[in-house]
Amino acid sequence: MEPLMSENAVVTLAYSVTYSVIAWYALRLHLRYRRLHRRR
Amino acid sequence: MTKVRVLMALAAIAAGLGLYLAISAPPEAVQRTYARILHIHAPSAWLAFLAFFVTAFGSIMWRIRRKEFWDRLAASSAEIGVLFTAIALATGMIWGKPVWGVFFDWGDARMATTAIMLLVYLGYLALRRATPDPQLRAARASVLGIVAVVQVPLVYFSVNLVRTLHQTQTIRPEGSPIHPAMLRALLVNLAAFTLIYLALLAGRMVVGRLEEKAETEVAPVAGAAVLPPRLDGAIDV
Repeated sequence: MEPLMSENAVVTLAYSVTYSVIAWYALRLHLRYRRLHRRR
Repeated sequence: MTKVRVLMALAAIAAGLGLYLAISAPPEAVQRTYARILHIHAPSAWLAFLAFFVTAFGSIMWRIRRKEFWDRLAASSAEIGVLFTAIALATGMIWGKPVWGVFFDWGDARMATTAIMLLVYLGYLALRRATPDPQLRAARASVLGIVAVVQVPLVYFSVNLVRTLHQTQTIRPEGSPIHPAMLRALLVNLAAFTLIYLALLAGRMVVGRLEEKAETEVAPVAGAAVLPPRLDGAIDV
C-alpha cells in the first residue's frame, strides 16, 4: 500500500508539532505575564 | 524578565543550530529520513525526566523549608514536564506509524509507561487546581510530586526490562552505536532543549510569583465606594 505521506512530510510534521507546541506555551506564558503585569 | 529573555534568545539560537545539524546529518541505514525524528523525540523525553526530577526536588525542599518558592518550582517544572512528555508521545506516534505500522501500542512497555506518566502528572496539575488554599495545595502536591517521580526510572529502564517495539537507549555508557554526525546533532538538540526548558521554567516562575501575589491581594468588596449617608445635615461635595 502506498504510504499516505512522504518521508520528508512525516519528519516535517514531527518537527512542526514540536516547535509549535513549545511556541504556543511560550506565547501563553507571555500573555499571562502581560495580563498580570498590567493589573499591578 | 531580562534573564528570561536572554535564556529565550539563547534557546532559539541553539534550537536553530540543532535543527540545522538534524537536517544535515546523514540518513539512517534502515529507517532513512524517519530517524531524524530522534533529534527532537529523545531530547523531549529526557527533558520530561529532568522536569519531573526537579518537581520532586522542589516538593522535598518545600516539605523541609515550607517556602513558597519551592512549591512554585515544583508546579512550574511539572507543567513543562507534561508539555515535553506530550511532545515525546506525539513525535513517537508520528514516527511509529511509518516504521512500526502503529501509532501506539499498550503492549509496549516504553509507550505504556510514558502514557501513564503523562496521566499521573496531568493528575498532579489537576490536584493543584482543585485545591484553592495555597498551603494545603502545596502540602498535597508535594506528596504526589515525590511519589510520582518513581515512574521516571521505570520509563527509562522499561526498554531493558521488557523488549517489545521500542528500541533501547541510543546513548549508553559503553558508547553510542550511531554515526558521529547523528550523535553530534542529538547532543546539540539535547542542549538546545535544556535551554528551552530553563527559559520556560524561568518564565513560568515569574508568572507564578505574579499569580500568587494577585491571589493574596484582597479584592475590593462590591459597593465599598458607596458611603453611608451623613445624618448631621452637612453636604459632602
